[in-house]
Formats: sequence, C-alpha cells, structure tokens
Amino acid sequence: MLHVEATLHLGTFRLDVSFRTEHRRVVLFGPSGAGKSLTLQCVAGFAVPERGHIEIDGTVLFDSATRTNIPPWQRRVGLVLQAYTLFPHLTVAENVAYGLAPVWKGREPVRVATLLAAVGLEGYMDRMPSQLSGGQRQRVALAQALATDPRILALDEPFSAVDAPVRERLRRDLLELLDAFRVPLLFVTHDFGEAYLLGETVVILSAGRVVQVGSPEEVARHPRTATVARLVGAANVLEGEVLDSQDGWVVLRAGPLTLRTGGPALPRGARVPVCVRPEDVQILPEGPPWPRARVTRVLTRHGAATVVLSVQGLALEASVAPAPPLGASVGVRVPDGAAQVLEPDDEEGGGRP
Amino acid sequence: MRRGRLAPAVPWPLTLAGVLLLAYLATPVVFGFPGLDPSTVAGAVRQAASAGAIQTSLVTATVSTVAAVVLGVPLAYFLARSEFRGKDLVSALVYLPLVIPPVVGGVLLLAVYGPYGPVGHWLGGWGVQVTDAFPGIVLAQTFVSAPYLIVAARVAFEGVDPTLERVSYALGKPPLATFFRVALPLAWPGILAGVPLAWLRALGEFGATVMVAYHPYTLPVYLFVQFGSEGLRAALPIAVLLLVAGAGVLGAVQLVRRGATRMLP
Repeated sequence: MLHVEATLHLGTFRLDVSFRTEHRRVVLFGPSGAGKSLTLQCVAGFAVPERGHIEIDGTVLFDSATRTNIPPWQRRVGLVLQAYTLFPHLTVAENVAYGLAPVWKGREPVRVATLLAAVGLEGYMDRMPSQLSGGQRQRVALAQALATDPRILALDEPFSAVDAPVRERLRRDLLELLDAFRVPLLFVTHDFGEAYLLGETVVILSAGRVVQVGSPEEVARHPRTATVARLVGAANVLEGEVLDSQDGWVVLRAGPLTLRTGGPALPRGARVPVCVRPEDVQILPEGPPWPRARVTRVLTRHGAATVVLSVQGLALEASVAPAPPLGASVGVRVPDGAAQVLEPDDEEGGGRP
Repeated sequence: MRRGRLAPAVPWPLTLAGVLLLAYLATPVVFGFPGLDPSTVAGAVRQAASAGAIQTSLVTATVSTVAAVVLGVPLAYFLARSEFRGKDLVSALVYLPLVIPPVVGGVLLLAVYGPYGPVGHWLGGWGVQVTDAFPGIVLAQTFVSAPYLIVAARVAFEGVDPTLERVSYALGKPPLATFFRVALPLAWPGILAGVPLAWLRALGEFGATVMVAYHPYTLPVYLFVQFGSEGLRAALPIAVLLLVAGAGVLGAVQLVRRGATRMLP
C-alpha cells in the first residue's frame, strides 16, 4: 500500500499531490515539470514537504502533523535515477555490497553474487563502472538498490538514457525482478508506453497536481480531462455541442461530425470537450452518409500511418493502414461509443501560484 | 603540413611574452649560484644540521601540513556543500592569508598568542610557551600554508557529484559514513595535490615565523641569520638546499601523478 500526500513550494513551483493505492506497481506519469521527480524525492526523503503524509505498507515515513520525518538513510527506499550514479571508485561487487542489509552479514559475497545473477551480470564482479555500458550500469544500480532489502524501489526515468532496444529489454527484466524479490515499485516516466507496461496504477501529474489516477487501460480509455487525453495519446480533443442526452447516452455535434457515446446526462446545448483516439477514426470511401474529409498530411510510421484529415475545416487525426494518398477525398466515421466526454481542465491553480 | 587533429595555434606575440617571463624565472636558477662547489654546499648543510635548522624545518612543516589536512579537509567539505548567508565572507577569511604579507600574519599571531596576548597568556598559565618555540612555528606555518590545502580540497569536493552522496544516503549510509566512503575517497586525489604545495609553503615560511618564533631556527630563518652575520656567501648554499627541496618535491609529485594516470583504465 502506498499513500502519498505532499504539499511543497520550490521557488515558484507548487507541488500539491495526493494519491493512495493498494497496487504494487505505481507509475507517476506526466510531462516534464509536472512534479513527478519531486514527488519521488519526497518519498525518498530528499525533499521535505511543508504538509503531507507518506506511508508504505503501514510504515509512516513522513507525517507533518506528528512531525515524523524518517531520514533518507533509514527509509529503505531503493533509488535508481536517470543519471548513472554508481560509485566510480568501487568495483561492481563493492557497489552492490555497499548498502547490503544487515541480515546478510557473514554471507555478503553469496548475496552479492545472487543479486548480480538476478540482473544478468554474473561475470562482472571485478569490473569498474566506467567499463560498463549504460544498460549494464543501470542493472548494477538495480542490484545495488535491491541489496538493501528495500520497502519499495523508487526509479526515476532509469532507462531513458539507454539505447531503445536495450531499454525494452530492461523494462521486461524489471518486471521479473519485482516478482522475484517481491518488492513494490514507484516508477517515474514521461513515456505513456512505459507507464502502460509497468504500472498497475498510473498516477497522472500535471503542473504539480494529480489530474487522474487509474489503471493504464482506464486512463487510456477514459481520460478525465483534455490534458490527460493528450498525454495518453487521444490526440483529437474537440469541442462538442450537446444535441440530445438522457441518462447513459449523449449525442454531440463537433463541427460536421455527429458523435454518439455513453455518459451521464448533459443539458441540451451545453458545450463540452470530447476526445477521439486516432485509432478509432475510420476512413471510408467518399460518399453519403459520411462527412467528407480531405487528407492534408500523411505521417508514415513503422507498421502504420497517421493521417491528418480536414473534415470541412475541422482537423482530425486518424491511424490507418494502408494510408490514403495525400490530398485524397474520403469519408470519415467515428463509431458510436468511441468519443469520450471530458471534464473541463482543472482551473490553473496548481503549478504556478 | 601537420596531419591529425588541428590544435589551436598560439600567436607569436603571446609566445614572445611567455618566453620573456620564462627567461626571467629561469635566470636566478641558472646564474644565481656561480662557482658554488658541492663541498661548500655539503659544509653548509652540515652546519645547518648542527644548528638544528633542518630537523626543525622538516618536523614543523610536516606537523603544520598534517594539521592543515585534518582541520582543513572538513572546512573545505563544509564550504563545498553548505549554502548559508555570509558564505562569501567565510571564504574570504580562508583566502586572507594568501593575500596579506606573511609578516602581517606574524604580527596578528603575536597579538593573540604572544605572552601578553589573550590566548598566549592563558596558555602560559598552563606552562605552554608558544612564541620562540615549536608551537609558534607550527602556528605561523599553518596560518600561511593551510589555505593552499583548503582551496585544493574545496575544488576537489565540488567536483564530486552530490547525487552520489544522496544515493549513499538512500543505501542506508548516514552523512558521516557517506563522507568517509564516498566524498572523501573521490576527492582524495585532488586533496593530495594540495599537500605538497602546503608542505613546501610551510617549509619556506619566513615572514610570519620570524615574528612569532625567531628561535628555534627554521631553515629560512637560519638563512636570514647567516646572511646577516656572514653575508651572501654563507646564505647561498642554504638557498640551494631549499631550492632543491622544492624542485625535488614538485618532481616527485609529477612522477607519482604520471604513474597514477598510467594505472587508470
């Protein structure tokens, strides 16, 4: 169980986060400058909130009301950062043994060997960190953090400085390590793909505030606000006008498009933001009853393409394969239920006071 | 045509200025000791030794340097890591002995540690004499040589990424353990680079020492005394001795450093 509440001012930045989850893998996700790293630093004890409460599996690490503030060296938060932070004057084995938990006293070499084997670096004991690749260094850093028998692994974009193919491998191996060592995870990333893969719970931060908490599927499928919709890849955020609505369904007009979807009843004529994922937009041969659209840009990607359509002036992105040619006239359809009614963005209170 | 990577060229006016200064610096070394035969130098060394000046200088310079390391390294770490109002003032205080004439330092030390100074008077009550004694020499030498060590150590500590210290905390090591296991080992080569400088500065200290402790003679004071009583001919061999000591230590440091660089992967 992870429970974090923290309010903290740093210069002009205001952090005001609060979340609580029973899940074992928690990802802090959001754009840079959202306060993800600062939140993680609060958990590790390197940033001290003005008000707050931080609790892991029943152990209170920080509580402003009772003036509890466990120092970082007693928190057992296993930290791995984006920058390579192995001790350059120690060998790989010495780095791993550095914070070894006292229960391993007398069995240090065996435990270090076990940890290095767990991260796939059996033969690297006597190497210096400077002799390792970026991926290998982060593997040693994981073994080093696990050596302390941590309450939680707190990883701050640990793989973002590593080459892409290695990064994918490291993510999978991390999941195996979490199972093998039965340790919970707090992971910071600005990559939603990574958040989706690693998180059971995704905490989305923006401008110093939590804007949504949920499983990866939930936040991807049902983003709460326009900001979240853009962050999780629902690139089409439109303004819709409610044509008709009763409890459980809504019909909206967004420019030339008519969108039918589920949701609570809304007053007729209300203007609300809606989002449509590019992969839900269908491209059909031109002709009634579908609104006509023109292909204004084609972005070819490996395996698929994103096309930008102009639906009588309304810009709409669609992921399709194969892509229609640039300039083609096509019909466009958004299936019933694909559109998602959003809440207006939280007023700009967070982030900058 | 030169091949390989292009190195920036030094334009000739700069070269000329550099050569002029180099010639001036080299002149005393090359022409300062004409007709000085080895037996004269050996005789002067024996004489200095019998006067106790060599032993006094070696012991006091070493004690001063050890004091500068033991007390200066923590101060340097403090200056490198903490932020507080008035930090610039504290820094200036550390640099002060580098910019004031050593003889001024001697006067100030006398005012405090002399028999009529507050600390000197108190120490006298305990039977500890500072002036004209070993403690006085060490005080004077530490005053002028410690800044070299502090500056070197501070630069060395500032070169250590503070993130590494935070990682050490997260791995369960409190600040004192972190200092000894991370910050100090990583800064150590830089601190060591300051040690010979501080030692040589202590060995050559004259201005403050002569004020605080005329006796027992250190080599520079002995040189001054010999010059006063018997003139340049008597002073030159001792000057050679100090010059050789300085050049020898610097040369040894270069050799050690080159060896250390070769050992790195």
